[in-house]
Amino acid sequence: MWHQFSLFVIDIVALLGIYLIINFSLRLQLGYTGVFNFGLVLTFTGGAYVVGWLPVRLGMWILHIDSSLGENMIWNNGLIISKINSIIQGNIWVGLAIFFITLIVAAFIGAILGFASGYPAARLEGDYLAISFLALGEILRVIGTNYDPLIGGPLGVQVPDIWAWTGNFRFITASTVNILVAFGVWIYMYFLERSPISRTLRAVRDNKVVASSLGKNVTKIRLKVIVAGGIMCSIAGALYAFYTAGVVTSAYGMNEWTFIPWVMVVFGGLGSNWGVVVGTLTFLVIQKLIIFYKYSFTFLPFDPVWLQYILMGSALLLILIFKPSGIVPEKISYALTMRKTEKIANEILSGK
Amino acid sequence: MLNVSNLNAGYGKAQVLYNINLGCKLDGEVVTIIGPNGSGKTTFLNSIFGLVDVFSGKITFGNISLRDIPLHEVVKTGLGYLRQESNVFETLSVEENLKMGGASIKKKKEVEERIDEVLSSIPFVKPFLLRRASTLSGGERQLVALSMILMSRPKLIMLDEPTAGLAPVAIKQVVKVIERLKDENISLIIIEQNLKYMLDLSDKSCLIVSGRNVFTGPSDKLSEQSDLKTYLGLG
Amino acid sequence: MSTLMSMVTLSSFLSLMGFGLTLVRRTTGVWNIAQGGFVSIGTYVILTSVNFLGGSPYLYLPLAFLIGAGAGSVLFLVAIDPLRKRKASPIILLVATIAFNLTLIGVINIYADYLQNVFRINSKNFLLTKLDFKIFGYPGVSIISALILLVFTILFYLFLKYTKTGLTLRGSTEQPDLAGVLGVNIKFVYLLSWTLSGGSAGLAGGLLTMFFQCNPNIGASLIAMMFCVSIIGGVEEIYGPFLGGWLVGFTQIYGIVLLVKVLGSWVISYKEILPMIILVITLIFIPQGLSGIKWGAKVRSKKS
Repeated sequence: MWHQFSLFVIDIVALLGIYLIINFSLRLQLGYTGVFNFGLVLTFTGGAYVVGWLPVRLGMWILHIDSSLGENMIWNNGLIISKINSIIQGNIWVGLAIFFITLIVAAFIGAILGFASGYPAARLEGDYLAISFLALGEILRVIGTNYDPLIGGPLGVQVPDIWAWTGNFRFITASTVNILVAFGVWIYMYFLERSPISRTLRAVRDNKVVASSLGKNVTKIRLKVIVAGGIMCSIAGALYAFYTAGVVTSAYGMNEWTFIPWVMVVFGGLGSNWGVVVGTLTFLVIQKLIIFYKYSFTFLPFDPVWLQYILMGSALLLILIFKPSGIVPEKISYALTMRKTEKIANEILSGK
Repeated sequence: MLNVSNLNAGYGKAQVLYNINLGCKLDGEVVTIIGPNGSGKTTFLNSIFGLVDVFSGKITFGNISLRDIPLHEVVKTGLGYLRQESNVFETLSVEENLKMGGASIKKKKEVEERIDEVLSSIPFVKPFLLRRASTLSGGERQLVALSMILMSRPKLIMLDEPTAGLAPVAIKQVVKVIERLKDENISLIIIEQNLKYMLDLSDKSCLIVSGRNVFTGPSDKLSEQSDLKTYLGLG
Repeated sequence: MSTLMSMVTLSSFLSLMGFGLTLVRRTTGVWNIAQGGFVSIGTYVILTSVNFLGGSPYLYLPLAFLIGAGAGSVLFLVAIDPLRKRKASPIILLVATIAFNLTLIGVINIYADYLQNVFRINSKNFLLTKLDFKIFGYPGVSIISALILLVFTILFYLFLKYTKTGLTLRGSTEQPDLAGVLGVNIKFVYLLSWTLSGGSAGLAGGLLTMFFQCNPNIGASLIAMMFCVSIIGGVEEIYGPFLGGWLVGFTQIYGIVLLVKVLGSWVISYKEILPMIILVITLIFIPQGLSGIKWGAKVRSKKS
């Protein structure tokens, strides 16, 4: 019972980390620059595909595994993976090396995909922008499903378990790493908020014409933000693929990785990082609770997992109608801290 | 009569009008509204119809409070509104525009009869019936727009700069139509910059500056106010 | 099915589906993500009807239209209209359609599960081609869908041109404020568009069951395609989606045949990408779509 509950919590924490990274990237793009990115799934999947493709080859190379097996990576996938995993179990450095190298490559791919999708899109407005992202996201999914050598086509591939060296603590470790990365992103967002750059971004969001007339290259700024967002999402995708130790295209749909993040972020509120946390946590917990208690609902003639869609859709609609800014309101950013402002005000008032 | 008292209105959170008061009697009273650009004149007419957020105040026409009824019901009370821009449907023919003007009339036959009546009032429009509104000149467009408003038999028409941007010939035609409206005892509220044509017509004038009533009174008294002369560029 | 028949069927389907999307975009300014869900509803109306009431799927197409229309009006009344009154931006309205679509996905899947578990009807993966009939040796669905599209187009054209409501719809699309000032109840006009849009989607879904493998989540796979149809065709003119539907249908069937000849047969699995690539190109270079290009002006400028 305790074991079940702890697994439940660990799983939520792991996914929380991943969703938080995606959602922070959405907040960065949407909340700061007004970029309607409906293609989060594109860079997320990109990062995951890197994990589907690279680590197994890295593993083979580092560990000098029989290269004849490499002739048919997909067919021999299971065999190769189990060989790699058995070595990683005893060798932490191999695991970590593969992990970090892959993450860097994933970040790079994320940047490229972000740029590729952002370049044509950055010039477009509002909902047209959103749609072009949607289309681009779909393109990658079709390629992944049909181009077998990439990640084994529709059946997918297994991925070396780079956490194998942790033995029984595998899930906790993976979970912790996810959350730590998410925390890192949060800190990045925190400092970004207090920097002059955030004001530039908000200016671009609120009034492109004015920002442009003041010398800010709006398209370039939006493109940079899209690329940054792309890097974040692809790292999240990579972490997810490592966590599930496998990549299969059906797990990377637009519902789970574009629309649901949007629901979480709009619900929680674009205006603050806490909003993102609240929104993400709320829906993740609801989702996992429904799955956890699934078997208590066997009297229902349908899979209760679908209830979460109804819940999410309705919750989002209600929020949009009654509190469109989200649960957590936007904080106005001040150029100076309250204390400094008060000090200056006092000085002026006392006639200095 | 149309009665506006203590009207405060604006767009979203931005207030544009502050405590405006104005009355216009039925049976042919003509009120002119003047003032510098951006002073809120158009916003004033928009708020009477309900196209703009009203923060507080009363707007009554007869014994109906206009604030309590939806946009499409306002025309049924007998009010008409000639807007400064977007006052014809460009993609429709003139005849279709007139039919749109008769949107509040239920029976098809009645619409057709009314079109004939309006065309006899404003014969200038007859030759253009089948032409697409986007092909009309400024003056022709204004006449079509006026005809559209007349379709609903309004008792009071609000006109926002009806002669703006028109060639002198067109201005004459529009003024002629407006004079005829007054003769038929249709009340008018007119926003105008071209005072030359309007001051003679109008019974009452209202000067709005920065969203506030600066002067309301008989039109002949208007030019006597010395500071007003500066606003109006009259001397 | 021969290539030509496949194209006719697919294009008719796409045009019908794109019609609804374009209609609400033109009138209310919203891109309706839930349109895919409405198509899905249509498929289940047909599946349920033929299983419980028997007979040909074609008998129940009007029902699919009606229920789709109902769904469209519900979306408008529950989500779009309240937000419109609060002056929500187009992107918020888009997100609202996403929210509605998510709810719809849940409902459709639950319904499919229910059909499967309680009535043992295959509802997760179905194709009703065997219930189709042949006309002169050709699949009935090809002829009928093209016919339905033709009739629908003509009826809609007549409606727009010769009825009072049609005129009101045209005027309100161009200038909603002016229409309101003249006494048009804009809410009614919008409701009508959403209802028609949902109905045409339901109808398209009904036809879909007879030539495409349907599943509860088919809506999601259709979203990108329907945007291709609407945007490539252009939303400026009402005939845009018909242009778009036929172009996309053409590329999916004949375009692929051509590419296979040039690049090899591996291209076939990627055929879904083709319209999307065209979509992105369209968005960059001619965002107003094919129907938005002023061909007359181009000719004139060449002369001078």
